Amino acid sequence: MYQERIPMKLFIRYACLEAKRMFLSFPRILLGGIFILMLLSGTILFCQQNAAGEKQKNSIRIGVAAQKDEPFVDWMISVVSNMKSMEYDCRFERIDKEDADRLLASGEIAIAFFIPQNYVASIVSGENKHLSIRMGNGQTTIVTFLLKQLSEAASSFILNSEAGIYTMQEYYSHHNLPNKAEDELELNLQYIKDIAGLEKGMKTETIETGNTYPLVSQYIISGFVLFLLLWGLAAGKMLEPRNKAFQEQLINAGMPKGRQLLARGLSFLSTSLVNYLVLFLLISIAMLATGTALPDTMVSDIAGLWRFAACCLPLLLASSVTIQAVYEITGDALGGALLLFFGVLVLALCSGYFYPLSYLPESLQKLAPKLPLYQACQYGLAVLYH
Amino acid sequence: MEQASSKNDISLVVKHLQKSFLRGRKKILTDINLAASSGECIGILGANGCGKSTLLSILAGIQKADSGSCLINGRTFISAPKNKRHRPFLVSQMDKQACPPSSLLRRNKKAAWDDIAYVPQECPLIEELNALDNLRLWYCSSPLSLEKELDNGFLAMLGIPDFLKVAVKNMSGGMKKRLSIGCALAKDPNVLLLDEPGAALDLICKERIEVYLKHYKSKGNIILLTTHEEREIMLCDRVFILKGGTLSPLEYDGNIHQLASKI
Repeated sequence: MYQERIPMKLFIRYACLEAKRMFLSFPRILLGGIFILMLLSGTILFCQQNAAGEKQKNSIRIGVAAQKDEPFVDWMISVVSNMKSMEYDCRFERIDKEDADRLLASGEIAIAFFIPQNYVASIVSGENKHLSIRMGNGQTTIVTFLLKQLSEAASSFILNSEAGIYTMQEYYSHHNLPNKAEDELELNLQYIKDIAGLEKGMKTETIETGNTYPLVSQYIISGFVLFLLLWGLAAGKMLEPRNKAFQEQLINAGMPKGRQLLARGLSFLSTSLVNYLVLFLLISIAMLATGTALPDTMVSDIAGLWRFAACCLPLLLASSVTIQAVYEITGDALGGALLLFFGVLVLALCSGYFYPLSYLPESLQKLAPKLPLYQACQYGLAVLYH
Repeated sequence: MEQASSKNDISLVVKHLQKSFLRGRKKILTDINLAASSGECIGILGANGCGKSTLLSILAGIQKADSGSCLINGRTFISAPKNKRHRPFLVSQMDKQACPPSSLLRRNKKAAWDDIAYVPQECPLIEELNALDNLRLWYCSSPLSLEKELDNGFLAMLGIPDFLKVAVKNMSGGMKKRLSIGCALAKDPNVLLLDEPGAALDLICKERIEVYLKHYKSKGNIILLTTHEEREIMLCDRVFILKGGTLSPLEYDGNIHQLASKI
């Protein structure tokens, strides 16, 4: 019994000392963590700014020529401008009819809409005055897109308006109320105004891009791959194999290599877990300080961030075991680091994270979903977005 | 019938020990025979690569012998048949008699390696941790009290309390060597195997180690050390030269030039 307890005491002591040794390299890993965090936040912010910049670059100035007191024009402009599905940043501005041609010729505006007097009222009454569009060269695609959106908005708008009118007429007849034709139009316009006030009747269109996840996910994956690379390199100091004499002394003391490996594994896992928690703590602080978050994902608030951290624990376990296995197999810190570095690079390449999968040979395209890095990333994204 | 000796009467016997590398093409130890008794310090000299460290590592159980046997206090703890592959049908009747049953051998091995401490040339320490942490690892299952030994025991004699909080990676060679000896002594062994204990150490460190070794020997323990140092040779009761895979006794009269020619 006593003989059995001694190796267990030694095992526990060895595991504790290994953990202590690994924690001594904590500042280095913490620095690495901060570096990765900065890099990750940098790439995501860059991504967002880049997307905003792209929008800015593609912004189109559209002139709207209408009577100054023409009802609903400003409201329609604001609704169309704020449509989320707008691929281009369309900036509508009121112009004078006389200036339209000059502005189009100079390129200051791309398109000019000419709205006839009492246009909305004419739609409601069935008179249907024509809306004129004038454009510069090479804007056909944009105009088609805009017209599609405008017609969607208008048809929805009219349908709601007509429904309102018929309801009103039914109400008049049912209650035998005087239905004066002269004030009907005014009443209808009042009703439309109510609808407009509620900002209903607009359909938001989403464009199918064919990607399962939005563009920002590519940056998150890049950050994750980078994290794996740096973590693999940083772990070298922690998982550097003990000298042979030391291992042999432990064997002689009743602790075979298997138990030594287990003790190191447990120590590495506990160290990784602490580093993981510190990293997420730093992200929380950064999120609180800057007020940034990833909308439409699990990480939309601090609680979500920690839920995400909890869900990704299996990834931490899998990557810790892999990293330790690589260092134990190579038996050399430099060899382990190099193997991990190139291993992750090749896996990332074959998983389609450097080039789109469609650019890779067909055999690799078939292989990609079976690769562990691909599986890990898909799991992480599934957790993040669903 | 193998008889266990009393603690005061310690003996270490090596019989016909052989070891070769490269599948027998490179013979290092051809026939090693040695007997050491209580309170003896035995020095092994030899040219670089002659097999001194190999011999000690076999006795420490780190490497396996091709053939031969070793006994501590009359108990066989290393027993290798003459045939390297250890195929039962090839083991001769004589070998069978020499080899104790495997269960007994396992028990003897465990008991022997609790009794034998080995300090290799490369210090078996965790570099990132300090001396105290390293000592705690080995003393957690020791019958000795770490605090007591640090206060007035052999660890104090080795001067280890002076650098308890120093990380091993920041220690000098002498500190590391003394700490390695301190760690090895945690199991309170009767036999101490030292592989070039004074190599590359300054005089003060050597002095400290020698003082301790004399004390250790005086308690009736056995020291087996490999060395190239004249001071350590003077410490030994008997000196052997390892040459051509065998040990030959040497009478050292203080003539270092004569010694060099013999090696």
